[in-house]
Amino acid sequence: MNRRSFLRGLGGVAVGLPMLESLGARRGRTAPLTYPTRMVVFFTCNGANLAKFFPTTPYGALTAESFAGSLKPLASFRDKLIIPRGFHMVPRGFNRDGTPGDDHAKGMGHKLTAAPLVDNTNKYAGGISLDQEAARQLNPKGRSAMTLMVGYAGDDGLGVISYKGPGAPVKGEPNPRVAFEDLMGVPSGDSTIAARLKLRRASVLDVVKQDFDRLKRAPLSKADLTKLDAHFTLIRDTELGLDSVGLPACTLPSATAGEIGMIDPSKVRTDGEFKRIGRLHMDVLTLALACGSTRVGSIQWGGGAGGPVFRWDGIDHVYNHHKLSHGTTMDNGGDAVSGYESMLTQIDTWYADQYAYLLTRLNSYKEGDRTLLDNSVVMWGNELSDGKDHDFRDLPFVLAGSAAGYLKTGQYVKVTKQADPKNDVDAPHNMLLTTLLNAVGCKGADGTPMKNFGTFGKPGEVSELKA
Amino acid sequence: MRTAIAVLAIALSGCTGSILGGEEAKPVADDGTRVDGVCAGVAAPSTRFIRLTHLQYDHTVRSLLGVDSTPASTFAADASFDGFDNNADGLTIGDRLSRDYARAATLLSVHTAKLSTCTPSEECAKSSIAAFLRRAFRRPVRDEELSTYLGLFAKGKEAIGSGDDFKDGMQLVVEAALQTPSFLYRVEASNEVSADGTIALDGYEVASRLSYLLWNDMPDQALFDAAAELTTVEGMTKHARRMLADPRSHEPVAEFHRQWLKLGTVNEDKLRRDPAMFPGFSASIAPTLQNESLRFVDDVFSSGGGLNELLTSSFTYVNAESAPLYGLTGTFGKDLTRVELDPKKRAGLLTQIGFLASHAYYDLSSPIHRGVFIQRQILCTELPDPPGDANLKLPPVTGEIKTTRQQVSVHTSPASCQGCHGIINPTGFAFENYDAIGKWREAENGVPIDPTGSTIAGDDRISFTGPMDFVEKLSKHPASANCYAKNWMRFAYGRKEQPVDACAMRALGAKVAGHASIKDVILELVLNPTFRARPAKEAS
Repeated sequence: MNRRSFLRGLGGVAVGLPMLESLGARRGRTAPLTYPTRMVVFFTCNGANLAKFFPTTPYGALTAESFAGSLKPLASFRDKLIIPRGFHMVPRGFNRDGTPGDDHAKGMGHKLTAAPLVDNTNKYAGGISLDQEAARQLNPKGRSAMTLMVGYAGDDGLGVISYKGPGAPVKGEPNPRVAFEDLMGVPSGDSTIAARLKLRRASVLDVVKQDFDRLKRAPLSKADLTKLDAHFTLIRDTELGLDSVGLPACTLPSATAGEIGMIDPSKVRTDGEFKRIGRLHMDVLTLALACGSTRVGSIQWGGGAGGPVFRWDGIDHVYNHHKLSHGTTMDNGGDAVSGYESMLTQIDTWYADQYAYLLTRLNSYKEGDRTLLDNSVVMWGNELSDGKDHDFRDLPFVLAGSAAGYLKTGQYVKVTKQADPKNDVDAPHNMLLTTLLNAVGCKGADGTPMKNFGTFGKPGEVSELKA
Repeated sequence: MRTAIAVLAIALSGCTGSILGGEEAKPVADDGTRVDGVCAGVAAPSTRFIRLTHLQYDHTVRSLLGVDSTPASTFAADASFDGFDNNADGLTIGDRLSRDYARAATLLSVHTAKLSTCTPSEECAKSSIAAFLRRAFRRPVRDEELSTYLGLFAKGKEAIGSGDDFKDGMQLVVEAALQTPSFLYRVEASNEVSADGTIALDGYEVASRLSYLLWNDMPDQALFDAAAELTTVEGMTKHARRMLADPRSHEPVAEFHRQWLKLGTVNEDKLRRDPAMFPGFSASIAPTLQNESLRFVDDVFSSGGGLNELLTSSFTYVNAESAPLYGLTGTFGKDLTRVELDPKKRAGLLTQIGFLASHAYYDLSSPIHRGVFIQRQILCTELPDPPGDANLKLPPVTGEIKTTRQQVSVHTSPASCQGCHGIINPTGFAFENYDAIGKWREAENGVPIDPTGSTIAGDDRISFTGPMDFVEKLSKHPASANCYAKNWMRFAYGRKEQPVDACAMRALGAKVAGHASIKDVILELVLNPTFRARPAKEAS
């Protein structure tokens, strides 16, 4: 079989092999081709209607009956899913650990970092996030994770889930076209153009670097030096990424490419574009993972204490997601909205449908005996559990893909030994983060599997999740 | 956090009359007061690299390249620090913004047409590049920089290869310059400590401070040419006056008031109202109401007014949509026009529909939201957020409870609420004559409105008989004057006030209380010696 035909997705996209090999695909003289593991974070906000979210079937194998509630759109993927039950967030909400931030800010900042917020003013998290840690370890040096944002979110910590380090937010890119160009360069089969582009960027960066060097020679305060160094590192990363300029034959189906080309940059964050931008983001992210532009990505839908007014796909709400999560007409008070619970279920179901779309796209790429989805782990997480109470316990997580066999899929599994999954005793969510990092092949400083991720919670993996 | 503690410590320990610290006599007290009681204008510690705000970036590339585009409108937005988005602490460059800058530089670099007027030649390249870099970096260009960029220029033919070598070279020069720290930051590199222990900024650095504060834009040619004059009070006064007379000075003034008054919250989301109770009112009026306040502020600025006029003037700007809300019956079009309102019912920003309606519930006025805003923004009272588990639902109108005022009073009556609500509620009650869409009313549910009360303002109390009496007293109160001064200081200097600024802040507050115009407030801020100097000691 032709190697290229291995890499043919449903979209009929031919993918250049050199990049994939550089990212970890290996084939010895006789050994079969192996594929890299990938990680995706799918993040929604403002909690869920928990009464309809989790399966009502017993713990154990997921069955068709497990998908009677909001997760109905995921039924056909049941063999590739894990629905864990009983994780609580750390640092904990309700101010139980005395760390800064309101409940929404804690949910946004803690969820991928398991670290407390830096302070209460701008609500940024105090540690590196799951996706950035994975990208730091798995991607070639200087290659970022793909960090995508659907719709509008605040400019402070309420709008961010991803962090390069303490207080260093990575704000999601709201425009799929920009995301595509950033990570895959300008696609071109013409080697002259590619070589020119490389020379141009290298020449420009060289001059920019000299300005940094000159400024850093002056006596500077520690704060100013840190500021310049942080900026310079980002510039240097661009330089390290130069090898990819124009190289990968990462091309979108022409219809999708056409749609991306038509995007009005001034409208990408509006409610009216929420659905379309979300879908295009998922197309771009899938392609980036398939052709090896990155091994890690995240998609954040809306922001904490915000979210769109859902008015599409048969949903016609008057109030935005945050207001409905409290069942009120205002963000802080106001009148009760009757029937808000079923509106929340509509939203949860809509997100499940988007998640299913992403899984379908990932599953459409064959990689040997498996698919891209099988070689990945896709975590759907939420900032809160019950949005009305700002609860941090019994978190709604859904995992998809086994990370090439590391995880035991097809199960609804309790991860706490407590009878009530709401007890915040023995299943801090940082253990899930540690497990996922190991699943995709990340290592601790000593080169062995990671023992603990985050600064709160407990060390160790969640054995129930492992194959 | 550390800064807040330091400020508090000064507030408690400062102002004791002693200017002697430790064994040695200091010429200046920690709050910036000199031996003779005058403010020394000591420079406060700050960064040497103040990144351009997104608005400043857009204006700068427009001035620099002569193109009308707004590339920064799609950049990753900045978070506000201490109330303003031009605070240097918030102006950092992250992963996405770094790529935004690179992308914008590439796109903008094609606009080289206006950068040279000579016939393409080596000599022409040299002079064009020198002139461009001087403006891009807002300072004289060093010889070695010029030769670096000439080297880059020479690579244009190979790297771009359009056939027009001169243009290709200039394009590379622009693409690189727009990504350098020298362009993206206002760099304050001066390093020579003068006799008074501060570092005097050079004329170019002062020109940038002046220009980006007064215009949100790079210095013009006249200011570059006059850089040497900007190290003196006379030179500063002359140029600041010239720049404040220029139309470009209106935008930063609008920006200050937009952020201080949080006019962004006058949006559709905050204006949704019960259509049964308020037929004909549409949340889509939000931009009109926001523009009304901005036009009002601009009018006060242009006509030489200050805080007093902002809080008490009874004129405003309306169009056909907003006029009925003020009870106006004349004929109005789509555009805003200036009108005089009944001075017994309307006086200044706090009685405009935009503020009143954006601080209200779906079906009720909200004395709590109005009170919190006035205490925090107008009086600079430090109020904590309500506890996370606070019950936000007001008791229903039933039995003895007949008005919003009574609903709020009963709801917040527990002693644990009164620490804050004893201050918040009465402040908001002063505006109970305005309903949830800011319309005047004399009664609610058949009960006459009670807009009287007494509340905290700074160190003492204000007692009032109604909204006109309240805003009149508020406008005359030193606490509002000091608060306006504090906010302007944060905006003008792009940083939070430091202990050493206390003397200058008090002095500015006194000027505001003495009816200084907005123009005079700005002049005072730029003439403060701290505007032209850096401390010898760096920020930690």
